[in-house]
Amino acid sequence: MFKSQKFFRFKKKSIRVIKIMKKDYKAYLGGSIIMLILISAIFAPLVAPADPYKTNVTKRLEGPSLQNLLGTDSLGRDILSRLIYAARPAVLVSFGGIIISVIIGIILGLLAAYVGGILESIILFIFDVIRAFPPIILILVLLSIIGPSLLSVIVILGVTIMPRYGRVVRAETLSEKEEDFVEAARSLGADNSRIIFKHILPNIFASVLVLSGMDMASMIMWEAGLSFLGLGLQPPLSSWGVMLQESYQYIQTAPLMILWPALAIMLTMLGFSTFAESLRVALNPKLNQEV
Amino acid sequence: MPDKILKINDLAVEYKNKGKYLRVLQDINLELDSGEILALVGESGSGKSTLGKTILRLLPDSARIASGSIFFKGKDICNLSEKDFNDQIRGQEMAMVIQNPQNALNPVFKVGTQILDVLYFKSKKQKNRKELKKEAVEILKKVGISDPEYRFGEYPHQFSGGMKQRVMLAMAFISNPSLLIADEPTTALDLTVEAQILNLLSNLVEEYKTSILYISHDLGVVAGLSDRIAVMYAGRIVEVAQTRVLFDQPNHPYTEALLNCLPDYQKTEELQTIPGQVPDPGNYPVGCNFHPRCSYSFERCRQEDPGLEEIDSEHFSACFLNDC
Repeated sequence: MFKSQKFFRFKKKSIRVIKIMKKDYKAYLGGSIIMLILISAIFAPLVAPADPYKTNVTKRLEGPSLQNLLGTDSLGRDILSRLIYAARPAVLVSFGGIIISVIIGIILGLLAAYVGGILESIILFIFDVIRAFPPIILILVLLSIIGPSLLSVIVILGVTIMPRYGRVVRAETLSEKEEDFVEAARSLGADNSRIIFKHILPNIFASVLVLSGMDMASMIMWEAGLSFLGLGLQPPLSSWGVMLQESYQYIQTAPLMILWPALAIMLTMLGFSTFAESLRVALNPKLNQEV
Repeated sequence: MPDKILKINDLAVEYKNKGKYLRVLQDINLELDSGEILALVGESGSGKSTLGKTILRLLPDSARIASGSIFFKGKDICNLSEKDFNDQIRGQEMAMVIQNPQNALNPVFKVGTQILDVLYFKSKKQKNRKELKKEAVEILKKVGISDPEYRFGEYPHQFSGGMKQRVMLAMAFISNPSLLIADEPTTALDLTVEAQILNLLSNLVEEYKTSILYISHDLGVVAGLSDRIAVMYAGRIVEVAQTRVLFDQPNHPYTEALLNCLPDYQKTEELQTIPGQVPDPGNYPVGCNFHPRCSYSFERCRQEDPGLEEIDSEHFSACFLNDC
């Protein structure tokens, strides 16, 4: 019973957020791009016009045609199909990495701010150590130790950007826990778990969500960059980074080929960041008083 | 004589500042009968709120109780573990209404949801929220919120300050506490709303038979509300008396000075003030804390510390003038 009640309240709140976002063109733009990416990722075999792995050397490096809408690559594979299949790792890396860093970040940030003392120093030290390295160096070193694969890219990216969330959560928790309503709740007998889950987390949730929306875009770029360097997904698996890397050698003979993965990356980033922006406004009751 | 609901003995509270402990409360002795409204008045910085927070154990980590004890219903609450205190007393037997209602409600939840939460936890998670909704609307109605059904679904930013304070009062009274600590609940409100809230408070007190520790800096407000008044200055209680007695025969020079500061619309002369400022903790003068601002101070005030003494039945004051 309790669970369904909780769900009911959550649903009601989401309806309100959706109501606000319905009036925002950014939400439509970002949302439709994200939907497009998600549909391509989930239903790739149904959406893709051809097999992304089927090579046909006689038709290599062709321009757009009716048969291959975006042309073919150096092995004669259909670029559109590969683009669509490549949405899968992009989605996996961005969502997976963000989920990992948000979960670890919230736990560590809350602990640091709420418990304080030595624990806080230790947690902040961990954050500082991770942040002390330029992210690209840290990621490259870790990847070369663990070995490139989809899973290791997700975990390493998640851990590398985790301090961002940890620090935001800690800072927001520190300020929220001094708020009057926390003191009021405490004086009415709320215990720590109720204060954390009812009064602190819901108030910092919006910033974490918006931050993660922005980071999803950069996750996709990281994945593309790593694959481009040969440290992310390994061919023949398709990823936008792998495709960039494959096509940049042919930039003189088939210049259009590099455009498609680049466009896909750009579009996805645009989608995530506009959606995140619209979400930021919708989630903050103070920014949408007219509703 | 009715039972004492709260008994504070020789309480001293210290704050840690730059590695040193500064005393902010000293020699606090206070008793509160059940059903009584005791007002705690004093200037800003006199330690009124600190005393209120000490009783509810809401002091920040940098503060500690240096000595003394607090008995609530005969039980020493200083020695209770934090968990026991939270489970048994805070929010159950004691509640607090804080000064600034503007931020007292969580901005991301609807007002009704927050009332439901308090009801829900009070019912020990036994009842479900649908059943409680009726109760919550009823409570909103009781504290004088018009159109409670509609207001139930609104967010705190859609409420005015007075309405928020009404909601806070409602939430504090849900658990039917024996002691309510009201920390300047009307300071942030304008005068007409203040009168309404005070009215509501006295109605609630009558209905629930709650004792109240009413913290305020405004003698005018507490005059009509309280049974007894304790005047605080620089971390000490300097005078305790029945409200009527305190107004008619103030004993301590500080009380007298405070009463002189009350505006009187019939007089045209300038508003009185007390020269000087409340000293910071750590900079308290030797002797009586009030002597640098006191117009009656003499040699002994600069050397010795007057203790609170009973000068009349139920009338306590800390001043050497009484010995003369």
